[in-house]
Amino acid sequence: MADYLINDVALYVSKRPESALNTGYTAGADFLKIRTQQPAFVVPQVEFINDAGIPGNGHEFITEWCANYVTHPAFTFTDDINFGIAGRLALRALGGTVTTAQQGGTTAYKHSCSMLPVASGRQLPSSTMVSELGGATFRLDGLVVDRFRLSQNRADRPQYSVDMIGTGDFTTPHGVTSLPATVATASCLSGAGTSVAWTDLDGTTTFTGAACSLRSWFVEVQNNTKLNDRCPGDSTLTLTYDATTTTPAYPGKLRRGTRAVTAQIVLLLDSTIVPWERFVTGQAITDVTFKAQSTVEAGTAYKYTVNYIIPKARIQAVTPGENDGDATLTIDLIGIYDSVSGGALKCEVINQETSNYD
Amino acid sequence: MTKKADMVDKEYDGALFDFTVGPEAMDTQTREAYYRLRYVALNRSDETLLPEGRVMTLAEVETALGVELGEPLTPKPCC
Repeated sequence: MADYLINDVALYVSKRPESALNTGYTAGADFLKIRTQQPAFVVPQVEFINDAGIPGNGHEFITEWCANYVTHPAFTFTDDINFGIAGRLALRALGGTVTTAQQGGTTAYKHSCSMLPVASGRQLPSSTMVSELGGATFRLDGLVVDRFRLSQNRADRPQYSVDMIGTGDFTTPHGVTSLPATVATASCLSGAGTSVAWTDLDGTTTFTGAACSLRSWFVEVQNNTKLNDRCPGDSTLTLTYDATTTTPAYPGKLRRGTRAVTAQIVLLLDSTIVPWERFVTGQAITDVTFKAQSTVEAGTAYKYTVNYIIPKARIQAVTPGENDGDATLTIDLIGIYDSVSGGALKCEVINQETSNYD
Repeated sequence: MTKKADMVDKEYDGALFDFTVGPEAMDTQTREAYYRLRYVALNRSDETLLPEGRVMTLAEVETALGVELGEPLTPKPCC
């Protein structure tokens, strides 16, 4: 009997969104390996209904135990940003149609999307995931991005963190053969290559670069996925072990709730406090750009990039603070509705993938 | 922290601003004009004012901005 280190878990996410929720990919070639600095493996859970405490039994104890629904599996991936699977999940977190365009005749391609338009419904693109560690070998279908965050502390390599939530549909053992052996990151990420900027009435302010005053930043989209969206007629799984069978159901919907786009920039205090002036006068800020880049170019003048852009933002708060003894200002931003893109956040990924990057 | 308003010293008479490429491939001054034009378009919620895909003269850029390129923009009247 073997035992396992949790760090030995192998995780995979589908290269492309599912054609429909719960329509999982089954071929290894359809998956990309994914790393996480918070190792974990998946074991699906089933919700059972029982009659504990219900009057009539003559006692308070359980006499009935029936499988009801598979509960929602949840998984968090956290790692340095990469220009493979992280970029794909950054796009899926927004859910709009991805457009791919070659950049200036070079080998670089930009994949862009906005947020899923209100008129397009609430079902965000779903992914299939495979998790394997010892006997815990599962294929999970119907996972959506509940939350996606890009962040950086000082000039550490920028990171992403993504919360995935599934419907509960699963297959075990996963049965997917020829899964990829390595993580495809496309190109090395540079902590010094980050660019953070916004545009206001005075023009474009770049917080990175030679006169850098940036201490940390994050940008996040929260999709507030609606859980337990159950409905009569939901599909069921058949689980049979030792001639005992249960048939828990799983939801056929996993829709977004109220979305929120927030960001934070921590700056050294300057001799003038321009962000505070923008804040107290309620000024509009546009194209708040958080760009993580590689050290090399995907094509001439175009570095490998994962970029979240808040088209229109307001400053919610400017808070004094301290970072390693230095006086700082923490600037909290909120994305507001941009009628041009139809949402509050856009995503751009630049790499050498010519198509099917979504 | 750099501000473009301090950096616009290039003579633009007769020069063209090429917004047909991504901002990654623009020179510093063109990129500044690009983002300022977007600021105006986004705050007016007017997609037709976006610079993407266009080639504009300095005069066209400044007409769209309502000020000279290096000058602060005029705030939109509130509410």
